[in-house]
Amino acid sequence: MEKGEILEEKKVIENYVESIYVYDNAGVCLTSCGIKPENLDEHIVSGFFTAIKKFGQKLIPGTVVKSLIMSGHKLFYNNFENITFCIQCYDDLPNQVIDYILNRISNQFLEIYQERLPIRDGNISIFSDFSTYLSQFMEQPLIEGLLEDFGYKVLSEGVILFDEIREKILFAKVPEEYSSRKQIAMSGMLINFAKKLSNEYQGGDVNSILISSENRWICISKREYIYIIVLFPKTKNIELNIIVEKTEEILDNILKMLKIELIK
Amino acid sequence: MNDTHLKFVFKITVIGDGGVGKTSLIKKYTEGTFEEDYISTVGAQFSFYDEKINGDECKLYFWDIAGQKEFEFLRSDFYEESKAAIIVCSLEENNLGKESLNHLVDWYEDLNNNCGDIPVVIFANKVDLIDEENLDEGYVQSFIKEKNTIGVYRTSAKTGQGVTDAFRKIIRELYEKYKSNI
Repeated sequence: MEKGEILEEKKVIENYVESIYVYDNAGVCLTSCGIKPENLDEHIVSGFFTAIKKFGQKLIPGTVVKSLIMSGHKLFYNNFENITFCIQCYDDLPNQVIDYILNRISNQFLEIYQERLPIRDGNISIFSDFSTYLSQFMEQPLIEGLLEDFGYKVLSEGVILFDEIREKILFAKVPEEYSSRKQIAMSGMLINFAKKLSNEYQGGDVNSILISSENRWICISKREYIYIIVLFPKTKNIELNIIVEKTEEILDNILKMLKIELIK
Repeated sequence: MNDTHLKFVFKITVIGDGGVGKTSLIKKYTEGTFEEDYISTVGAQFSFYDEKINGDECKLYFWDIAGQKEFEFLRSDFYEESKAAIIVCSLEENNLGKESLNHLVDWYEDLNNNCGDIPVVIFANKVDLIDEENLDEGYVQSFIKEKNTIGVYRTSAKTGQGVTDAFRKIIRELYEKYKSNI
């Protein structure tokens, strides 16, 4: 697969995420990055989060605090192997996107440090390299990462995201021969045509079209001015409802994020 | 790792009866207390003391745990992964003082059951309220011998006596212990 045209203006993760903390069950912050209040030690923050977590477990046994919602902001937590990964972000960032970010960070962290975690003995300098990774991660384009991750998870052959108003490809990861203007324009025309047909039957707006052809499944979904085209090989055994459901889910999330970008 | 200097953070649990002066002691000689009122609602306050030893950054990260009965349900969870502990009692010649001494063994056992054999320091606090010359420390001395604690420090939040020495002792003890494991 080759990359086609990519986002014109790349909004990176730090446009959405304010800070990231990684800490252990003692409340010791192993590493962190992002915006922090001045004069506030990172261990004090992670200690507070740890105490809240433990308090929650006592309040409702068998549960774990997954998030804290504040006005305009929210904190999300993910626990893996006695390590908690926390991100502080704006409250309009979709939860699925937050899950994606938390999973990316935690997988990377555990891949590098899992074996050293039990023997760290208070020594947190072994995690110092990870703050460099976090800083680099924060500079990555979020929508691009999300779409790549989505494409990988649903075993797709290619993903194209198109902005109808600006007539621009926002993201394309497909074999080059599948990302021409003509092909994308046809997808838009097809949605509009299907909408007309749907109206004939009083079906209302069209969310998705799934084409089952000889060689592949082609799913086209549209929300407002954004549409997505996902190509799946026919050789893979994929459930149709999953294709549509997942495609619509990612599109909804992306639309929310594009709207956040417009506001900011 | 390209940095030759290491960075250690040691969680220290601070316990003892309610009213013996744990918070006053820790708060006065440390930094970083965060939104005191909020933290109190979950039964602990956080602060730290740091020092450089041989160029390595060492930080004692205190979990000052509420001593009141109301917070008993949370306490053992708050001990988790502590590297050392401070048990505070009061030298005041009143009920609170006497009970806090009698309860030293209970606090020690609670800690031991949850954290195992971690280093423990006793802070005999409010030394400014008593006449040190007439002080009978027999009970505390026999306790620290029997329980194999690091030591006892007569402390006062008011005069500052003993606290920094004790922090230095703990930080060096932990540093030596864990540095040698690397």
